[in-house]
Amino acid sequence: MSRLILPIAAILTILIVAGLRVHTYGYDEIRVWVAAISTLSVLSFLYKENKVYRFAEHVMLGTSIGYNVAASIMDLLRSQWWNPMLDGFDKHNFGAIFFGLSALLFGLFWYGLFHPKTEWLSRMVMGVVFGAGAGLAIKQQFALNMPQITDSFKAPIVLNEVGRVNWPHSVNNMIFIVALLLTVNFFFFSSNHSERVGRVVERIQDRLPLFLKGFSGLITMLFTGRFWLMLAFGVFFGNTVMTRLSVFIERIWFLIQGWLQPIITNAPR
Amino acid sequence: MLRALARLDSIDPRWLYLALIAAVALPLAIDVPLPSRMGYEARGYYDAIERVPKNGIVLIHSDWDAGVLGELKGQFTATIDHLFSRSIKFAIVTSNPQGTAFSDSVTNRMAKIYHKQYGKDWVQLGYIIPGSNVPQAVQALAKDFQGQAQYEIRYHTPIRDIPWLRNVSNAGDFALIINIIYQPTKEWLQFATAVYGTPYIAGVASIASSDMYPLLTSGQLKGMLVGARGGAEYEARRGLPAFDKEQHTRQKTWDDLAFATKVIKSQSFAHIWLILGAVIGNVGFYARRRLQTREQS
Repeated sequence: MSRLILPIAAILTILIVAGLRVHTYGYDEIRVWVAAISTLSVLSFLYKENKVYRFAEHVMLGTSIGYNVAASIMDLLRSQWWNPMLDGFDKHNFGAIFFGLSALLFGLFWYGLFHPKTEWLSRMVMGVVFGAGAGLAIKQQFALNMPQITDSFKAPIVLNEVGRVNWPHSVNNMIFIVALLLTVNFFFFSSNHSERVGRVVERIQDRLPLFLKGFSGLITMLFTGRFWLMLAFGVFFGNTVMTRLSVFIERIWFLIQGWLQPIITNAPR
Repeated sequence: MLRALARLDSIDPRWLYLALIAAVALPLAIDVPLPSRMGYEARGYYDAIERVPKNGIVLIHSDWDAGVLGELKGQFTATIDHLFSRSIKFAIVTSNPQGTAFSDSVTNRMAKIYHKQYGKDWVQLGYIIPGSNVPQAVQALAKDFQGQAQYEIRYHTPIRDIPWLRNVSNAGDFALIINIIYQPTKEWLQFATAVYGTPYIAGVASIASSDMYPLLTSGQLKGMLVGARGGAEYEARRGLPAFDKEQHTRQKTWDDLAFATKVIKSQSFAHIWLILGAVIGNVGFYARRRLQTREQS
């Protein structure tokens, strides 16, 4: 029982303060309070796994799925299927009616999946969807990837307008070419990668000056392409941290400035 | 001394979280002037909008919602501010059912500031790119705009009855396509840029930006805003923080303009804390290892 005193006191305090604020500043307060309590419930996971967090998680999933279903019906089906079909009936446009009814029929075929006797119907629409997907994927190789492939053919020596070597640009291109070739080499599986690269690395290490012998591990890594891969993964990780922090910052700011500050200063939002 | 340092290896993570909260809340108490220099990605984004002719129409594919508000809200606000300030008409579409409400909240507020009218200066076409069939829907929209986007969603006016959208038949009739989204929809490059030559720019979450740099260097993507950092650079170029003080209609609150600039300040403090945390963790790790070796010997 003594364990329950603190949570009960906290809930009562929240209810009293929220009630007073709603009474003073109107029902718009409820929106902020729901958002703040939901945010705190999710952040409570940082302390430890708990039932409040679980509840908030389930509420969020439920509401987002419910919202998505409603938006799909109101924004998508109504404007792109239902209204054009009704227009077709009004104006005796048999093309629109036929399109609307056949879309309905094909859409219903998906649900054939739920019964063994009607499963074959769902395979028909699946075939159409996969076929269209495969067609688009083939097109993507040319329209999206070809410009990137041609862009990777970079000149190691770049000249500026007056015919002199543009060193920053040239060095940049050289690094790019080395990184590209070594990374591609890393994923060439037709022969043993370690043996293939090992022979080259051994020869280089033999010729290394004494002061560079200590860095032989790093040099080996550079030549196996792993270094460049790790560099890229590091960039990915850094960017991931940035995104997560931005999301976290926005919530903390909301709690402090959007929720707590007006309560402390007894001001409207 | 070594024993004290070794203790750093076993700090309760909850203290670290608390310190992180304090670090991100610090810029609320202290206004730190952090200069924001514009990178080439953000400059490309800005220039692409500047190049849109006065009578050009822009298509915005806005997908951000509560999950990436911290990263993309600043980018979106600054973009709408830029378009309205140049009186460029635009239509908004989304592939996220919740995207409509979020883009509307910002656009309505900006429309009031610039005295712009819904239907005359901009329209919301809503969720017409279903998340499960993005490639097909983008292709359909790029190929047959009137057929795919039949009505605007607020008053349900047919697109053919909106004078400035009446003559838009495909993606080629748009002067620019802007994609503000967590993970960019590369299909626009495939079906709009490659086919009709319409320029494409994107505002993305930092996490997805690494994937987009090859498209930027190849020239397919004309410009990019990388997360809150990109938003802050773009805001600085637009002069939004200074503009904020001049315009009485704009309240200087956390929710207002120059949102990304404020986020990036907190993020800078958080990064300092993360670096410190990495140093503390490593010091603790090596101290514990040395202590164990000493005790064993």
